[in-house]
Amino acid sequence: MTTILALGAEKQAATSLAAAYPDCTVIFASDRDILDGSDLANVRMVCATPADATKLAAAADHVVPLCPRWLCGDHTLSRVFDRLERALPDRCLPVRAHRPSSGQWIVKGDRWNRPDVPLSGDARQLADVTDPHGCGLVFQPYSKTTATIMSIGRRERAGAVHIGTVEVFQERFQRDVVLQAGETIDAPEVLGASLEVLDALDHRGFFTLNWLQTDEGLRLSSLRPIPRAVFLSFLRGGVDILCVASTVKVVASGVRFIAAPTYVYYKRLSA
Amino acid sequence: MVLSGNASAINYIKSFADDPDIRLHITDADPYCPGLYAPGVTPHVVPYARDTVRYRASLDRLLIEHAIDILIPTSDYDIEGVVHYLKDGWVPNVATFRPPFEAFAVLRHKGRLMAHLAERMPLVVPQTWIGVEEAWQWPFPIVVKPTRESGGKGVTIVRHRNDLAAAVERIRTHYGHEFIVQQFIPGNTYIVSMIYDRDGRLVISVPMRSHLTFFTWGGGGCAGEVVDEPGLVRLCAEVADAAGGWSGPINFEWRRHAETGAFYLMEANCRLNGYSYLTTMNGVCLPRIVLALLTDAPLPAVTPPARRNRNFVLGFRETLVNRWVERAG
Repeated sequence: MTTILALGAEKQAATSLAAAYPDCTVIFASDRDILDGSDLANVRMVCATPADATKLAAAADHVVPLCPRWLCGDHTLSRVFDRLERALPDRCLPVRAHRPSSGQWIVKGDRWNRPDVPLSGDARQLADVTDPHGCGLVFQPYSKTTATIMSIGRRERAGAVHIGTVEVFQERFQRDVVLQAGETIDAPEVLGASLEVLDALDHRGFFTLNWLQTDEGLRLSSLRPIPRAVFLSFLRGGVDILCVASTVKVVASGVRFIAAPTYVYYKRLSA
Repeated sequence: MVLSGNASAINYIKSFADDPDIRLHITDADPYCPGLYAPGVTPHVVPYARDTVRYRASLDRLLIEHAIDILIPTSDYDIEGVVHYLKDGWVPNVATFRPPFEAFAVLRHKGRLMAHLAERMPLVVPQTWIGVEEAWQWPFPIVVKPTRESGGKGVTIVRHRNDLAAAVERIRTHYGHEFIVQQFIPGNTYIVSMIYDRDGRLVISVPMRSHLTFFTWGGGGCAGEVVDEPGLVRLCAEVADAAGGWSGPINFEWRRHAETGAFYLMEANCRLNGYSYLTTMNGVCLPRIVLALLTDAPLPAVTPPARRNRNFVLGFRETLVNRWVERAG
């Protein structure tokens, strides 16, 4: 039986992955004690840390990182956006390592998503923000937006990408950021811009690009090397992002999804 | 008809949606709210409850059009709307709880509740301040929270005096000028969900403890278990009495001090708690008790406390939907 390793399975995308591939064994690896998914017949849970990732991956057919904490290499927003600001200056919102003294800013995690509700405001309102989670902090201009669109998928190389564009209607910001409702859309401008960004970085592997529709046009606000909880939707839209891409294949528009609250029994991973 | 399709409404939906004898209508102002897409429900998108005139007109129309028999508000905004309408003389032709308005006014407002209990039950009230004039003498860490929000919205734990100004400034910007400052109580969060009958008699209380919270700093629970804490249940009943009595579902959130073991009241919410489906998983179906009280039917059987041993973790699972629910009219 095919084995899929989900690294950082405390994320919402873990159960999405398990539900989308019911004929595969999906191993939920996490260093968190309490996980959703114990009721799913194809799920096995293991207590592990990011240092165990390479060893665990050796026994899996597919490895799906769900949180950048579990990846090697520098995938920080500061580094990625530094490169993009030079390569595609009009495409992305700037990212700053230090709190600017004027203007409205939003605080983000540099290495991975900063947990809890996003904080935004001016320098005075953000003066107390610290980094208890160790994700690193960066600051980005806070813009009014008319839409949030994510490009999610997996890229092998230029011209070999599985990708879907999702209009995000609602997210929940908690420990994890939860995709609450969205719909795959036909958005040629977003698709073109996403491929341009991925090519400029020569990004390899999974990705989620967060695009904001602003008064100044479409702006990239985030790029993380992970997929989100859209595996079922993408399969419904005709794209299996676990398969290695050989061409550019785009998820069909019109697939709608919500996040349904689910209550299940759990056993502590440390037990 | 259950007002709102999130949090405690999920318990009603999961408890009633499969029952062929119930036509379950769910309303919410948010067309992407998960309860609207649950199997077995008739969904309605309505105006925001804060838009009181349009909301009430929409409710009146739905109650008549669908010949609704029972009305159960489950979100703070819905409850606030319904309680105010009832006070203003609204007489819908449905069975619903009619809690005392004065008690609601105390319980719904964190600052008012703490002030009300400070003399009556001082041992359960964390030190609470309104305004920041006396900040120089506070024992940090402290907690700053808006008075009328729930679900952890706007809450900040301030660990150092120098960080207070930023936290207060953020609350003022996003939630207005009403906020309270409270002593920080280290420890675990407990919830007691209770149901009073239409005459104000306590019917059942179920205490629960959170194992994991929605936010890294605390807040509502997203994993937990039912516990047996008769002393805590007594405290809750005393709080409800001190506020002027109650009718219908209500829950009280507490922190148990990690060092002293003493319980401190954090807030009251005039509804079942967000993860009250845990009680149904444990054989105590609070929605069925609500329904029985509103229809004068016999109360359902419940499992004894010793057998309530299932825990829960809440997940948010990707679920495909065929079409979005549209706002009527």
